[in-house]
Amino acid sequence: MHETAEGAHWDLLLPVAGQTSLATWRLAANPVDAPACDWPIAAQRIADHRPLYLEYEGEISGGRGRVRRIDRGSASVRRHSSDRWRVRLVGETLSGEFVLSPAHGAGTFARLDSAKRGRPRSTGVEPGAVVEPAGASAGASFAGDALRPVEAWFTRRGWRPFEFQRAAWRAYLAGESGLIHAPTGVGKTLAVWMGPLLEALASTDGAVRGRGAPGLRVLWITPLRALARDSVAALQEPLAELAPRWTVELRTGDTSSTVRRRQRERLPTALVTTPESLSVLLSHADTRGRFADLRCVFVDEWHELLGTKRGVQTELGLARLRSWLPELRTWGLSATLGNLGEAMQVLLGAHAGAGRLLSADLPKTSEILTLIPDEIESYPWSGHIGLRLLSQVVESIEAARSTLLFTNTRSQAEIWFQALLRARPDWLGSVALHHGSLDRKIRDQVERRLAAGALRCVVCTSSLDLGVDFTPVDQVFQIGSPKGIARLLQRAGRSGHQPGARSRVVCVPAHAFELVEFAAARQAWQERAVEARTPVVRALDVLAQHLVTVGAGGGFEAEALRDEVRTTHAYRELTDAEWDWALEFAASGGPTLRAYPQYARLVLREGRYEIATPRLAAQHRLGIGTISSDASLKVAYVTGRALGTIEESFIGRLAPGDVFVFAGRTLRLVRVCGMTVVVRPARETSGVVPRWNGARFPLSTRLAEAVRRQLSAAREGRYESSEMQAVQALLELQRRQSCLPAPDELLIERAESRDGAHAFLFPFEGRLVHEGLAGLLAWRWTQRQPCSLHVTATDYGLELLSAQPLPEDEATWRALLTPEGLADDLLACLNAGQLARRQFRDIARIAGLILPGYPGAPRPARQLQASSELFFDVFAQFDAGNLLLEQARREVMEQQLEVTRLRDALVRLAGCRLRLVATGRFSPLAFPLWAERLRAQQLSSEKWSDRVRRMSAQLTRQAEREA
Amino acid sequence: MLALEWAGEALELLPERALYWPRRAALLVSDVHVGKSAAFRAAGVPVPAGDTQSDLARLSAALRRTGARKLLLLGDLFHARSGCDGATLEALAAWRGDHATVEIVLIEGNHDAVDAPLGALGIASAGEVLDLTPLRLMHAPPETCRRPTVAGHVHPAAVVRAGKESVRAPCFWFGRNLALLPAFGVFTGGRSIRARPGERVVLVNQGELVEITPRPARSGRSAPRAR
Repeated sequence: MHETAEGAHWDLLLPVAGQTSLATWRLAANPVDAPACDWPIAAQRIADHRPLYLEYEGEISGGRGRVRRIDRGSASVRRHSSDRWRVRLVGETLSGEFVLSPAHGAGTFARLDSAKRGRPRSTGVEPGAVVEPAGASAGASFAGDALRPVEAWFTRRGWRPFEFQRAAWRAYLAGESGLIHAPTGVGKTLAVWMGPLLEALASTDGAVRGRGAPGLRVLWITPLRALARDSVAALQEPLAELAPRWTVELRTGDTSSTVRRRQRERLPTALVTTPESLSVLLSHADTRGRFADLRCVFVDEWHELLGTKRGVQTELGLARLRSWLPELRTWGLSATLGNLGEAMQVLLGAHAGAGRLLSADLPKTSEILTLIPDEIESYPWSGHIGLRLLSQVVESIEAARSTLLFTNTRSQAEIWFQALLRARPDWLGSVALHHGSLDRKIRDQVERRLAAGALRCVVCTSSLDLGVDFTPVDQVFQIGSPKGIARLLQRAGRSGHQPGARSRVVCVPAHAFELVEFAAARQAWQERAVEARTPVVRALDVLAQHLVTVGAGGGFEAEALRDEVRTTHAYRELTDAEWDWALEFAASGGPTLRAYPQYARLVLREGRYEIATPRLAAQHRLGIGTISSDASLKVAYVTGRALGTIEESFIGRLAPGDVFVFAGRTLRLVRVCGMTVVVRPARETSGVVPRWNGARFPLSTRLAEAVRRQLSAAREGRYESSEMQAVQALLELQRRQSCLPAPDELLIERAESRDGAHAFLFPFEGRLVHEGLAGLLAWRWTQRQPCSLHVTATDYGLELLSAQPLPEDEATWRALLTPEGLADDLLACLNAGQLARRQFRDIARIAGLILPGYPGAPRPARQLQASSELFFDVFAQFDAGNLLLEQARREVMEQQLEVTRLRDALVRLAGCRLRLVATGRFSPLAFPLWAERLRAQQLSSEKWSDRVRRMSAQLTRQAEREA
Repeated sequence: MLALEWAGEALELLPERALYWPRRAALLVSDVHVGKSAAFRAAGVPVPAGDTQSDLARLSAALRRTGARKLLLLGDLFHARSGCDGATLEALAAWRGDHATVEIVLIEGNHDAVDAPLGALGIASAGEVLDLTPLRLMHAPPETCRRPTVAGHVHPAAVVRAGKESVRAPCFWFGRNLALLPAFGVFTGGRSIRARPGERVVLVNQGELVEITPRPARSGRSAPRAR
């Protein structure tokens, strides 16, 4: 494919016997994915090319554009006359017999069969299937006939539309907006995409027939650039037969400047883009005119955007489009969520009243199976990460054609990848690793090889959680706790990925209590008790960015834009004071900069705020975006080949010469040079495995609740699932030594050891809540009784450890656990200031404080670099009233400390009976907490494992003696 | 104030992020980066002003407290040309007027090529190295030091941990033949260094000096690297 400023064409290069150069034709369409109706393709013989062009990809000198290889293979010229060449191609995707005629000058490139048939262009639509223009495009009463062209298209493929798809098409044609919820891989894309196609087929405005592609009609927003390419392919599929003149194109941050330029000339009929790229479009003044024909916006994977600032950015963009085009329809596509109604409200904003929520209740069933270890330890501990089940996992991988092995963290993925290769060295090359820190190119390659069926197994993290038409695999493994119900199901959905097919996930526990989690997740799923995602509200950084965006895109009147912004869910409660502050901040930098008239981003011209200079507009466009990336360094070989990125904090702990494991390889650190970590392959087979930050999900509220219910059933002697039967002995031991708490009870165990007095609390609320709770209890207790306390938290409970006695009576515990004064106490006990300072990183970038790099320069000029923490300090010192600081503190409370969840937990606990048990030694529930504390004390991992193993054995012996 | 002896000289570390050398009645300060926020504003980034005023006030306090007769600036007095706007230069001139009797010498740093009117401000330029036996003063630390050298440029910072919490703050660093000063400017970042045995690191955290003792040696750990 050769892209130039004028457009794209495709070069066909053929070797000819007895000649070193390659006979070359310029084709007007892409022969690899040209729809049937495009054949034959106009072809023009051009000057022969040198053989090196067979392999070449990239820029062509002299500004003649770029070339990219789209297919390769062997070619033989079978009949070689001056006028007509018959060519046999065996390519990776394009194969068959073709005719080039005439072989010189302008002519055509045709498949032998289509050339014979002599039907150069066909719409592919059955004549009877086209609905006669009836002028009913937006009518409320709509005959079933209207769906016929699409029904026929389905029939030709041997498919039948699902009822939710028909409902979606009818709703679309009736002018409605809404949200479609269906599990992965059941045809959500077609459920929305056929709507505008049907509308076009039924209209008389020449949107399907006639000449030239129609202007922009459909905007398709996708959360991930990686998904965008798949979406384009999925949308293009029905076009050949239904609307051959429609075009679908991509526009993301990766889109080449040539394509951007072409899109500035003419937008495609459907544009696939990301929330950030939509914002960039909105920052151009002529976008409004170019969007005049827009009928609808589809937001794919809306559940991924909901609950993030990118979701807020999408809401603002949609509000803008709706104010231009009041008839605009908005449809979201979402996987299973606990708050679908709210999800739709957020998507549709103030127009939610009219929304249509469509659910696909399909027979696609998900099975949750568990590998149950032969032997269950009485005192379970995490850390050996389920590798004991490796041989069973290896057997299953061997028996299947393709396997995805999901882990919760990137370090776990590295460990499992290494373990698989140690078990089966002959799998080298057919087992691959995929996680978010690997280089994009490596990940793409893994995805391609998986799609091509060339990989037996991919060990991956949440990096493979998403994907529209991801190739289904035979089986899916989940290593360790599922953490959430929706997450486990999404992963299960990676297998049997066709409508109606069964999907299945096999869970591998990392320690015995995870068996309870798997049983709990299955039960919750059967009851459809899936997690909700809380939408972000009042994010002033995103608003400030949006104001500059709109200012650059033609300007705005303050009041009109304020009202528009308030139609979104995120800002429906925006106060006038907050609006005024955001506007002043966006325009002139806020009240403290009033004295600096030379500083202005927006200026007021005739009642409209507009961007001050074109340079500022260009700078702003580069900075648009709300996803932040951590300070990460590139890992590359001495030769320059990139392997991926790694967090600075990990590399900071290594010295040159140290060996670590990354991207499935053992590497030796050579040096850190600027932002690049230079490495060499190491001979050692093991090394330190990096721990990436931010990968530790806590147990979701829903799953935690389901776990409490499983334990409660066990308490009543009901062990229904195989997982629960496997841990029965363990739970019975817990009951004998201490107790199994009922759902309305809080178990507090006290124990003594040579370390001091221990108190273990088991609220089963997830690690983040327990961390906050532990800090809170420790602070409140030391206020009464000055002493030194050590706290530890896991997903199940928390431990307080002190050299002095800990509270023993119920009244004291009640007082420590009160929900009253929570916020103040939290602020006092946790270093909220430090946390807010760190939280400021995202905010600073979104609000435009951190300058983006310029094209050609990877980072901005050195004298304009400053870290977000430094900005935080400068604001705190010289502009304390800056609302962005306030926002950072609020985000820390809500997102990091989960203050809402913590308050809910305290309120629940206040209604619980307290079960105070003095156990004397560690119970099976307390043991993992003890082990976790030991781990935090930074012993080397061998020493840690040894000590935990010894302790586990000792406790087991004691328990056996007593029994 | 924290007194120490280094290279046979008695030196005093000040919580203002400055070093006082009593024998020569000289105050040593590095990397002030005057006009940094102004440079950001000029580029369209809304940073509040106040850094330059606050830095100059702190410099005045250190001069008064020590009674220094000389102020030796170890480079990067200015941040960028775009930061040297009228208001910034006026503030600098007014501050100079308050300390008219102090001799000020600037060792050139990599940020200082800003065409500032040094002469009019009564600041002498010392080129790249200032030799004050037994100490040699310069901006960027050299690769190797045979003679005791005091430098800036690196903006050294170090982390102290207390339990789960940690604080990162600018610091003084004293090796065998090289001493690094913290960046003086309030709007300056830092580069983390790690102390090895035999080195002294003194943190400046919220107006207090905290000496941190290096942990026992671990083989092959990274040394503070000077750019």
